[in-house]
Amino acid sequence: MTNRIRQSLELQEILSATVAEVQSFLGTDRIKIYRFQPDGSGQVIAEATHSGRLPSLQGLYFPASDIPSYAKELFVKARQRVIVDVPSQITTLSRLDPTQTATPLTLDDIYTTPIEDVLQRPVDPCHLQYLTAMGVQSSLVIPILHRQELWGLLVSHHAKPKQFSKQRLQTVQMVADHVSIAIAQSQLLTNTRAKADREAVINQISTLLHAPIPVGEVLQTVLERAVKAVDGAGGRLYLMANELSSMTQLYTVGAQPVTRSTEPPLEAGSFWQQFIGPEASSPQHSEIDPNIWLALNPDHRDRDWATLHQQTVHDLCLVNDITQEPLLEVVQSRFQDTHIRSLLVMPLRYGDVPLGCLTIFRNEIDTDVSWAGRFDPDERHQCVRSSFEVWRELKRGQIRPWTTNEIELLRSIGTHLTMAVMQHRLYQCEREQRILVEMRNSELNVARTSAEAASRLKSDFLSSTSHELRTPLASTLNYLELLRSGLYDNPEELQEYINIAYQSAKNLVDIINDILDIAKIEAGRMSVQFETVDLRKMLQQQEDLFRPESRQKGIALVVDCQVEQLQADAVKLRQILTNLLANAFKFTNTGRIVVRASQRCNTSHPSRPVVEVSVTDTGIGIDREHKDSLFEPFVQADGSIKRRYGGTGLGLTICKRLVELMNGQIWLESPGKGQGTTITFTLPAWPHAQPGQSH
Amino acid sequence: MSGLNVLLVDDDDLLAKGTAKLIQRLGGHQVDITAEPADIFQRCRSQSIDIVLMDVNLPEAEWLGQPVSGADLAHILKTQPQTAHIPIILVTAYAMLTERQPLLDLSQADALCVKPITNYQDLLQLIDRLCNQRSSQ
Repeated sequence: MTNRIRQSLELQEILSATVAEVQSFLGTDRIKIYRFQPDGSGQVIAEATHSGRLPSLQGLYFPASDIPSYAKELFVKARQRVIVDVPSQITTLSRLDPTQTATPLTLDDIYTTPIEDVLQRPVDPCHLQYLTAMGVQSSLVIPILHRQELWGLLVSHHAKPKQFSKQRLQTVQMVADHVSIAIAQSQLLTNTRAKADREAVINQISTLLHAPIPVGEVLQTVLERAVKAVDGAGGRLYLMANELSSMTQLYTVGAQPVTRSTEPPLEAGSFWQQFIGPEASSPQHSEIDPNIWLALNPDHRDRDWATLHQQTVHDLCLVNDITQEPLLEVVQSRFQDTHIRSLLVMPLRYGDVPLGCLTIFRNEIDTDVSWAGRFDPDERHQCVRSSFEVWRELKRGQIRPWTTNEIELLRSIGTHLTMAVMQHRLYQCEREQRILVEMRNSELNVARTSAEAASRLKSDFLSSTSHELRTPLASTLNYLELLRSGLYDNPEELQEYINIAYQSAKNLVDIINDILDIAKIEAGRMSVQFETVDLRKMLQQQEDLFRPESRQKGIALVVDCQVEQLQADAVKLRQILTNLLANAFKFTNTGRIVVRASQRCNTSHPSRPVVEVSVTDTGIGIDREHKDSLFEPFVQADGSIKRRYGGTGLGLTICKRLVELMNGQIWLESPGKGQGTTITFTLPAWPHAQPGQSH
Repeated sequence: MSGLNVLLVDDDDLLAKGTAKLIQRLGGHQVDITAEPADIFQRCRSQSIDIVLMDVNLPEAEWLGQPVSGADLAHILKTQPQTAHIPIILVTAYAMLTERQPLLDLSQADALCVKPITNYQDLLQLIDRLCNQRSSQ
């Protein structure tokens, strides 16, 4: 018989084999194995019946009150069988002779009374009534112990009075002991399997976490796996903002509480903040209350445990019933349209630094329990119910508490997640440092290149300046040398040499002044004083200034001014106009010079109108190719121009810089050589930039 | 040494006139002024020129349709058998050392002097020396 029982490691098979073997051995009407639930109730989990005299109770539940606690204690303490012979109304405990005891035993009695005194006594009338109601005349009950706890009962019921020989009783007792061993082994197997399953999940997740795929995908997948592994309804992984990323990150999967876009995430709420908020303390390693272990027992059916709605075990927090958690009250409405009833929060922290948290949701479930007979759980029934007809009790919205297995698994996942997140942050940090260094290097390169370019420009400018100064200087010195050495033949020649030397020196001063102007603008030391300028009046003055030249060369100067006023630096505007008009007169031999001024809409900034001033001549014009370079220092369209027309080669450069200082633009148009030139510049009708330093 | 035929190539009339006068009066040489490439080549080939003072900056000068500088003209003279023997002194306002050496290399000229010429005695000595070398060869 024991061999048959030991053939399997699967508990259900063992128990089925046991009841079948015991039934055929004892020949009674019904053999059942009754298993206690953590709440004290119990279920018939294996049964063998014979002859049909007693109904099957397979799968039915019996309320906790059916077997009083003193009876249970007695089973543990006596570790013996109970034989009730209903007709003789005698309960026989074990082998010893009875000591008569009329009063029901209390728990204290069991602990204080010597075992011999409680072994045989009259049957509790209530129990007698109970058995009678079940149609049982003979009952044999043998406790099945597991880890010194009452795990269940092996029960034989017979519709007729029945006597058992001592030998038979010993054999059945032995079977029960073997069942205990089998349960222990099976439990071990279950634990080992659960552990293996857990490790498999952890391995998968760990592999994922170090896979070369984007971290977002990894975290999302890990979250999905974690939720699936604990049979959750949904879950979320919340990662807090940190020095590397200013945004919090939230990954979600499955069922979620309702969150409107305007609302902060759940994790901003006080419940989550106690783990990840600034006030969050480090995990407390408290001893686990044995009750909590019960609450977490995978096999328990919850009834009385609703009070154990929240347990903080080590570093994570589980809420079996969110409706009972005061800190969740504010977010209760968000869960209203969901079936979420339990949740588990696993804070992720690296040392003292909270990184975020993993939250798993679990739905409420509907339970369906078949009771052996209807009873009222609210009323302590002193006596036996009359019927053991199956009573199905359907309960909706029952909480499904978290099990130790699940908690262990999530804790491991949490640890791996923490490491992965930290690793990613470190990697990111390192990468950002590297990018920063690269950026600094490239900035330095740009700075060096531009410094080199500036240095080259400066050196080019210096070289040009030196060249431009040396030519008039050479002339001056030549004639001074002639004068100094007295190398002139007559007073006219003397006068001529003196005049040439004087003119050359004067030209030198002009060039030096222009160079100083440009240097000043480029050094940013030329300030602009905006004021309201009467343009009509200023153009009138220019007309007066150039009238002698106009008359002398026979070139008409026409002024067409459509603008009364504009905002500009008067001194600089006058310098620009004089420069442009001097150029126009210089390069025009016949025809006329026209100055036009009008207000224009600024196409790129319609709200900022500009004043446009143009100087058009009928002079030598310019090829397309030289048009833009004319504004560069010392560039003249043609080197011969200086000798033919004079000038420093800096006039247009200065005009351009001055116009730009006043937030304007300047450009040159010419149909071609010999066809005249128009130089146009714009200035804001009113200043939109702060008058001040240029650069 | 005096009475040399000096060809002064410069397109700045006023400056050239002063320079020519000083060389004539201080060194006793004959100085002709021109800025026309064809004229330069013609005079040099005619064997009447002892030395050339060549301004580098000749913006209007063209030879065979291309703009040429004084350094280009010197190079042409130095690479033509008929004119290669004539000493050439480049005259330039580009005073920087980094600008001078490339000009000498390009032109194969014998010497370079920087504008403004502040000591005509030095220039005259240079002219003498180059012409002496030439005649003693």
